[in-house]
Amino acid sequence: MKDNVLDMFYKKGLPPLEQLQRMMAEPLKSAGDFSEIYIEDLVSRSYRLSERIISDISSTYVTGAGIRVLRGNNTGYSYTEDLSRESILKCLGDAAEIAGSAKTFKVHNPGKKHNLYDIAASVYDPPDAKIELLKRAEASAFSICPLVEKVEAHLLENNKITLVINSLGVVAWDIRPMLTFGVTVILKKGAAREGAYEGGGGRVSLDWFKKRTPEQIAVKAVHQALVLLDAKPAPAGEMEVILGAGDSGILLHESIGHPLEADFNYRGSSAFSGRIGEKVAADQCTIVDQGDLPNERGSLNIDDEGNASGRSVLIENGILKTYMYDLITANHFQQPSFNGRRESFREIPMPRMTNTFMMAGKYSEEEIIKSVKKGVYAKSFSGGQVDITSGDFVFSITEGYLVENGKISCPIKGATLIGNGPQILKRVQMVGNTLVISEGKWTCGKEGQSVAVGVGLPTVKLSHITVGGTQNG
Amino acid sequence: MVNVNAQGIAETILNIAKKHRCGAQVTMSERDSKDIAVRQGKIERLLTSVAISTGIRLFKGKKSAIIAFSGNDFQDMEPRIKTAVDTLDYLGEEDAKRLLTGAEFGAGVKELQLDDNHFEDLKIPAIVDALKNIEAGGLAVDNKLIPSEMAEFSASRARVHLFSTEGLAKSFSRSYYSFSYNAVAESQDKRQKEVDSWYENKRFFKELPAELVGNIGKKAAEMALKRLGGKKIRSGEKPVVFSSRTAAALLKLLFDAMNGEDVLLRNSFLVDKLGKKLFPDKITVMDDPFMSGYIGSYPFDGEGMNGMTKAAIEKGKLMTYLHNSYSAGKLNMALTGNASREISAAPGVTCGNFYLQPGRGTMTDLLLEMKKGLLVEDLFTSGMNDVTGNFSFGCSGFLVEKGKIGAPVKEITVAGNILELFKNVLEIADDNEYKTSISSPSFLVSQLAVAGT
Repeated sequence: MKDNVLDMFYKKGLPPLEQLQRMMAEPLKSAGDFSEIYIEDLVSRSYRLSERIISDISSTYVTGAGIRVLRGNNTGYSYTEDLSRESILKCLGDAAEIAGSAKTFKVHNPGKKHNLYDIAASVYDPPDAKIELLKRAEASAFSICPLVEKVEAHLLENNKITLVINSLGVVAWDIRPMLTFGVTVILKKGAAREGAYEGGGGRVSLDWFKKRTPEQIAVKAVHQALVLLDAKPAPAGEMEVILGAGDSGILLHESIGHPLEADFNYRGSSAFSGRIGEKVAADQCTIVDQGDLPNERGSLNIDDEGNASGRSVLIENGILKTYMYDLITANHFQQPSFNGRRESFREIPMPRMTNTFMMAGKYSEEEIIKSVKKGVYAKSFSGGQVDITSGDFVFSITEGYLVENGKISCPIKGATLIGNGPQILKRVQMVGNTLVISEGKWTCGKEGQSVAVGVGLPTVKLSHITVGGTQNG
Repeated sequence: MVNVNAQGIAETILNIAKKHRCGAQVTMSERDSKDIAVRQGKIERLLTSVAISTGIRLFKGKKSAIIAFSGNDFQDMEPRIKTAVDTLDYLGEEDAKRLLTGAEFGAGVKELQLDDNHFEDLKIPAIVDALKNIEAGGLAVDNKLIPSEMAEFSASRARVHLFSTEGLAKSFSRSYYSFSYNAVAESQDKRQKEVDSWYENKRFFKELPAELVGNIGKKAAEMALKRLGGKKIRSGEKPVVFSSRTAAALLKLLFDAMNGEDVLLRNSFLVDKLGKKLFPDKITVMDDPFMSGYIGSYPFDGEGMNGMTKAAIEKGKLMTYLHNSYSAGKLNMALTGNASREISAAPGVTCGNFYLQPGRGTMTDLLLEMKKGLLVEDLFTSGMNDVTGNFSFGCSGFLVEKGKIGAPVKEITVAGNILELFKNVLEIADDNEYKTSISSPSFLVSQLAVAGT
């Protein structure tokens, strides 16, 4: 397989491996510590159904190489879309311009590569089956509810082949398929209109739709919009909040995950900097980032620096154990590195999450709901933002309910949760007994780079958090 | 730049398309960039790049398929175009899927003073010195400032070419330069940290003189320092001043709602509002792609159509949505020259310099007018319902007492409806610096629901 990957790149003009390795050694003769070439080939296709027809099909082909030279912790980087010897040499020269004092770079053990998504990527198959899936979703949405006014559906599929060669002797490759399916619906009832989105996917083949049909996805989107049509304005102020299992993992990802990425901590700009070993969360909280789960959206056989992905227990029973590292920060903190990721060859790698979740606790969801006198049950979120430095975050609830005297009452709309990451972990009062991974719909942005991630959470009860709504009292 | 023969490549592509009896539009983008980041007086990152991308939209019988490539390796182009032509059979017919005609895209390319051809002359050591100065200036403000984040310089020069089988052949170049700094302030007990940032950006490097750039660190540091000690406040209704940058974030929500494609999907709170008076007379919102040397300017849009200067909202009345040819055609409305330039997708909708017409005075005048209320300096605008305009946004800022900035406030939300919010604008200042394509002066809103404790 490795030869196949190399041959594929040789056909695109890449010089032979031995020659590349000699080229990579060149800048290290003067003062560099580490050099690396990351080569990528991406084929992607997207299909869109809109206004009751298949309206768009687009195909994209991207090839290129990113070249990095490190001196100490400082990065020189350059990229090219042309894999020829001349272009790569030019990039090496530009990248080697990075100045700085030389430090010894620790030799790193890249670990044994996983085999987490050994499937045939659907992107090379003809469009027929995929168009059928989009049409099934549309038909289902229109047939289930007369209030449905508009349906839009999309399917994105790609296959990315990566090759990493560095001056530490690593030659690593990966073949990464990805499939994403989503349905947007707009419902109209009298003068009122509401919209909703539901999606899923992962590093999976079209067989995935056997267990999660396009009809189910469409029905879920319609259901969410229907709930919103009947929803009352959200309350405002501090109250008890239940985070529903699954989608609420985005809150964990944003408010706890990002501040635990090692680059922020290496620079000292995270709310968690210098706090390893400290109690930062309630006893019941154990939080994990795990890149080696099969077929998940955030899973990787190797990270984008050539290291086998792994599992990090970030917080164990409330104690902060570790950050997530890329090569530079791992070298600084003297830790193993397997969270170095980048959007493409055009970008430098940095510490990023893979699949991030909280381990299950001991309470049933029923017990948790029963314990709430007056509060909000947040079932799904559309997204959120966090200020890494202060730890402040905000999340938008798409589907949420009031909880009164231990019972879920009416749906609410227009609510956000606003809080502070380090504080919120201490307010976890109950953790549910079933961990749910939110399937295949999250993309994480950091410094302008997007990467696919997985998030997950059991049902969690927070003692208090500010709900930003319009109804005071 | 790589100096590709854009015209030659485009002609080859258009000929292949014609061989398949397709119309086509080719978009090529060449982009050079340099990014330098300094932290603790040393270069932490030095990034250079030269990139080319090519996007092709194929048209045949009211259908359109897209194919995109990176780089200047066109060896597999012919079979790949054939594959894309084959996908046309799967598409539904749609009258609005078409190429612009010569009469529609118009002649000439307006000169807008966007291209600084001194990009190649940038002196890295001088820029590194400027960045060190920025960082030192920030750290000198107070001993609570810590050297956590980087001072950054970013420069790029891009050339865009559009060609089509309808005779479109237009190009333009633009450059961009910016210096920025994220200052981090830490409380004495090291339990609280706050960050704030400042930047200066121009299309011409010579417009970023040392006196302007030298102040960036100090400005960011002073703002981060002021935020330390922020607390929640009690929930209730309050008048609110939005600073220029948070006002721009609100204006972007109006832009999003004017997007013709969202109006078509009925995913906008401005659906069925065309021609209606929504806001007071003082609300006029311009979309002007022709402002010489400005960040949001472009001579022609992503479909090659010459840009158009227009009031999107005039004295409170919604005058137009913003369209590409597809959304205009589907909604049976006139073209507005707002197609975004895409390589691997159909055009979306973009804007030129999209701004709220200024009033008078400064933000300080607005605070004096408000007397008692909230000044919002930071706003997370992710919590809005696009269809209804109902929102609940996380924010931070300052309490205002007797017209003066008081204690910092954080972890609160402001909530309401975006149409109501603009209806309730009482005063607009004249402090817009037009640093982003969507920009606004600061303004005062009579009241909003604030949620805290």
